Amino acid sequence: MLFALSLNAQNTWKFSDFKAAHVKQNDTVYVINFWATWCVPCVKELPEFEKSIKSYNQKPVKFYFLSLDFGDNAWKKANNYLDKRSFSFDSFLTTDDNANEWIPIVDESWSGAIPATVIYKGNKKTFHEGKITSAELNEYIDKMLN
Amino acid sequence: MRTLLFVISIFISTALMADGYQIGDKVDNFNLKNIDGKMVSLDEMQDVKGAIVIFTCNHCPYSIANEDRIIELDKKYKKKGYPVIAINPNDPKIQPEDSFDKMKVRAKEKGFTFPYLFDEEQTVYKKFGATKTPHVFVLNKKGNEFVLEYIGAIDDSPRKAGKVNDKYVEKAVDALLAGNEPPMRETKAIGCSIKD
Repeated sequence: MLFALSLNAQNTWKFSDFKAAHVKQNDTVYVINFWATWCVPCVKELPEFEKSIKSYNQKPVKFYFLSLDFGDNAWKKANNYLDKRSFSFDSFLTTDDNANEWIPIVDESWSGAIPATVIYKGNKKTFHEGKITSAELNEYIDKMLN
Repeated sequence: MRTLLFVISIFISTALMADGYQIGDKVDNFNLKNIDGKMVSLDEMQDVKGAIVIFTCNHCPYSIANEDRIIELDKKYKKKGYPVIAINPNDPKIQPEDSFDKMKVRAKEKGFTFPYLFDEEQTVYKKFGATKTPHVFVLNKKGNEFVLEYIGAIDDSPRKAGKVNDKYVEKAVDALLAGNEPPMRETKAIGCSIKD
């Protein structure tokens, strides 16, 4: 329990550490969205995620939002943004900076532009670059669940 | 059957175009409006050995975090024959901060030493296969042709200029100046998606 609490307290992560701590080898589908408050297409698609979150609230699906905001109080900025718009999302901040190192860890095909979404279950992975709709998201999730 | 083949060939060529130039490809000339109102084209660049083409913009925090580094690149390499050419690929209807008028303002505020061009028709960035800002393409002139030699990030620390260990673009241009191939031809760059 203490372990879980200390994890929750950590808001900023290197992606590889975040993945190791949050994406477990079990039957849960883990959806990770890369976004930032300054990224117009990213914030526009947040309501799409909200729809999917509601659709799967009884299912083993976890959604995480990793912000690429940076500078002073970046995590606070990202989190306040979500709060203000009443999105109760699990919000974290990526601290990675060397794109050539961490982008391929997420997916080799990722050009490095956001928004981008990666979905894991066990050893399976799906990656989507660019805007995503709730319908597309649900399709990826359903494929992983079944 | 012929129609089908035709459709397939169109499909394939569109798919290839979507990926943009590859390393070693000859880059077509472009002719775009600079912030001073004059047109700038690659073919008319005088006394150059190549160019550092950087797709960038006003609004993107990653672009802003790299403005000083882009100015430094231009100052260091223009005199060696590799000037910076900055191009804003964004549609200002989607991102009003990236309008032509605001480009002028930003260039003046920062004291840009290089052309800052507007890809108004959004055709040039597609040919290059740029996907984000900032996104760098180093060109080398061979005869009258510009050949693509490097694609990617400026360096290994896009957010923090103080934490740079590996200056990819400088290494690429230094190698070209020495008559060698860049040590890294492609790196992953992070940035804001191009607004189209």
